[in-house]
Amino acid sequence: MLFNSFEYIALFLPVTLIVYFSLNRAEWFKTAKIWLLGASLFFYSWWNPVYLPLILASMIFNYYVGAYIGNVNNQSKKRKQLLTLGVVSNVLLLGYFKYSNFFLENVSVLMGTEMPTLNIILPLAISFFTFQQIAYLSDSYKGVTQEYDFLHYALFVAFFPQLIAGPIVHHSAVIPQIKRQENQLVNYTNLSAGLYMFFMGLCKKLIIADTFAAMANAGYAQHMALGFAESWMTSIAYAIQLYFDFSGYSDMAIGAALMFNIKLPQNFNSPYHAQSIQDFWRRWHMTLSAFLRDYIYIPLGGNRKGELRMFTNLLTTFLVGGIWHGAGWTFVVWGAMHGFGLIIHRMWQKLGVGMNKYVAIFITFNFVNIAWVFFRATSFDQALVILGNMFGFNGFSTDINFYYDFYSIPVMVVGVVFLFLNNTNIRLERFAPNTKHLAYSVAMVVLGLLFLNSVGSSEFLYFDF
Amino acid sequence: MEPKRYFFSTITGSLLAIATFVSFNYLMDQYGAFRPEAKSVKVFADERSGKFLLAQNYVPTNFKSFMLGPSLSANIDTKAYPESKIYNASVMGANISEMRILGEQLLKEGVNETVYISLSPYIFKDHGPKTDLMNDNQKYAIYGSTKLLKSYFLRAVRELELLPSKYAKDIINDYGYHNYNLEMGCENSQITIQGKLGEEAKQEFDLNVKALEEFDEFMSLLEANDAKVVLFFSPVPTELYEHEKAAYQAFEQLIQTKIPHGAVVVNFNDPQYRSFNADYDNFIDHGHLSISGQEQVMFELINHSQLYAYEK
Repeated sequence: MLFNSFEYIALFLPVTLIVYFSLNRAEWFKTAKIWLLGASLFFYSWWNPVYLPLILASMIFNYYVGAYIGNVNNQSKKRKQLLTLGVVSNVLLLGYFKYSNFFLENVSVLMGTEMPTLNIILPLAISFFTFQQIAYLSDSYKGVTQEYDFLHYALFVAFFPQLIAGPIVHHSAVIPQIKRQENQLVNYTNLSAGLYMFFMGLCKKLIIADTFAAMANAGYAQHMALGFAESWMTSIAYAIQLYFDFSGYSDMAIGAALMFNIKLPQNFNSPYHAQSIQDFWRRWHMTLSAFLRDYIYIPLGGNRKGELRMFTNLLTTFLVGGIWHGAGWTFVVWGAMHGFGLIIHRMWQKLGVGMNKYVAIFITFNFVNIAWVFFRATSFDQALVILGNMFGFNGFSTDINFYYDFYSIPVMVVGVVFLFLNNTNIRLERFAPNTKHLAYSVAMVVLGLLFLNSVGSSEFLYFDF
Repeated sequence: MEPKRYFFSTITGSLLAIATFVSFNYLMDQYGAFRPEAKSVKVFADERSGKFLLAQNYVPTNFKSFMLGPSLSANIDTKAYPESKIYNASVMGANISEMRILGEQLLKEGVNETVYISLSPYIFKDHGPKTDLMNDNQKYAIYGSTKLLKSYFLRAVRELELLPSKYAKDIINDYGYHNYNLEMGCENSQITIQGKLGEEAKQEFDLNVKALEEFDEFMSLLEANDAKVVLFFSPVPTELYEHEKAAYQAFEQLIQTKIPHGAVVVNFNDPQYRSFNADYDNFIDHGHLSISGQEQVMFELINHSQLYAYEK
């Protein structure tokens, strides 16, 4: 089920909310949580019920392995063995569903043979719920998860606002909120703020992201024919599309969760205002960056083992980040670019040379934009053709013939303007139940539903992960 | 404002705003969906979605017959024979899949006295809808959508003739007649036709297998609905037809094998129409008819539909 669908907005979400808070009001607190878990699993299986057993099995396995780890003596070797078993199992599960065919295709190329690929459908959200649970296992090893019961754990993994595409939540951030008694009563401030945030996200996705998507898709569909200006427009359109699409989704997730009195972590903080690659990764998909930092970069040694090792750790972390996004060499290159970007940034910092803020933003945005070409392209060839055109290898034509939609211009102007204004998280912080926000909310509801009634099926980009 | 009051005010305000907007759209009834009786509804914006939405209620209420095809038949003026009540549901760029979507909708609503179908290799080039503008979700656009707002905007531009050369008034009239001549002329038809002789034409005759299957299924559906069917091979300028005669004739023979018994077939490329096809004044380009050309074609189609009875 998509957040941007009538069945979610008009049926699933209100019914889940009403029943949840009604049960809590009747002091059937455990039943309310079971209801919420059931609703979340229903939400997941709307996509394909065949994979419901998979997420259930994953939750049960990880919970009990984590609980077992927590109960084993600290000094015992078994503890580490269990952790290894748990993490490897999760990685193998992810590897099988997401990377098997990539592996087979590469073996075919290396061996010069044609190995048959497997008919595997990637289960929805597997990258997200696998990473969340690996974090849980790691923390179990550190002994900070002993007090969770299965219901709370299951809700943490399956809570529908964040289940499909994040934000990647940490158990320590969410489970205490789920358990807290006062969160089980309806809070009209949170309901209102959640609604406000949800519809901001819906409008970002449907109005701005989908408009830029049309331009980006047109460009990538005819990449061979793009001129200089057209290839820049295509790449920038995608950069804007991706931001509004993914941050819009995160806003909707945060908004929906807030209605249940659960505060999910911020996931975006105006990433295109970043003044360096390091700054960018503190603003873009923040929960993924935190995961990569805490569970890959720091365990590898972080910056504590010398400069060369730090650079290696940075590169490794971002190669993992790249491959997490997709089973393809273009994603690996994208990750590697960011890894190298961070290395170069560290070296630059050591030089102690300052840079004008706007120059820094300009350089950072262009680096990120160039890297997005690999992220979006379906092949190296396509990426290289577009990048070649962007750098004038086929001339510097300013003709624009690849995309005509006069009606999308106002929306695009608004989208670009919004990039420079306060982001939705700041707006949420400033939310207050007054007439101004009432008017904004009503306007966004009407606009959001208008645009929702104007599209075909429009999925979120991060659904492929 | 107290939070509970704020929340319910937001919900109430939103519902009121939506109700107001939907009510306005109901009153405007841009696609004749709500009050279609004895109305005259034109298409102001996108032809594909416009005719699809008109096929939901306006066409079934006001017409007895319809025409299907791509742009080659979209500029045939069926309003010239108003007593026949034929709606021209042809759409620029339509393939057999899209023709079928419209045809099925109209047959389902009982519009089945006579179905005119324009045949050309173009409609069999590919298979499947080219856009998502004619799926079931689009039916709800009449209640409120960007498509509807665009239609209002263009209605104002067209009706007030603000940009007549680009957005002509009555470009698609209430009978679905798409008057290309308002936006293109036929002075250069001879040059256009002769220019086409040099182009590679083979690709026009690569027929998609699934498209042909879809045609078979549509013919069966027409039979099942007891519709009188008039199929016509779209006229091709003589020079172009002679240039690719073998391919055109192979196409015509193939399609003839798929036409159900009892259907009326008019081949506008038969020798009796040679003088028509040789006259540049009947065309605006390589296949689209001029005003005089489509008048003659329509006359022939009406005559043929009256001469033959449909036999099961």
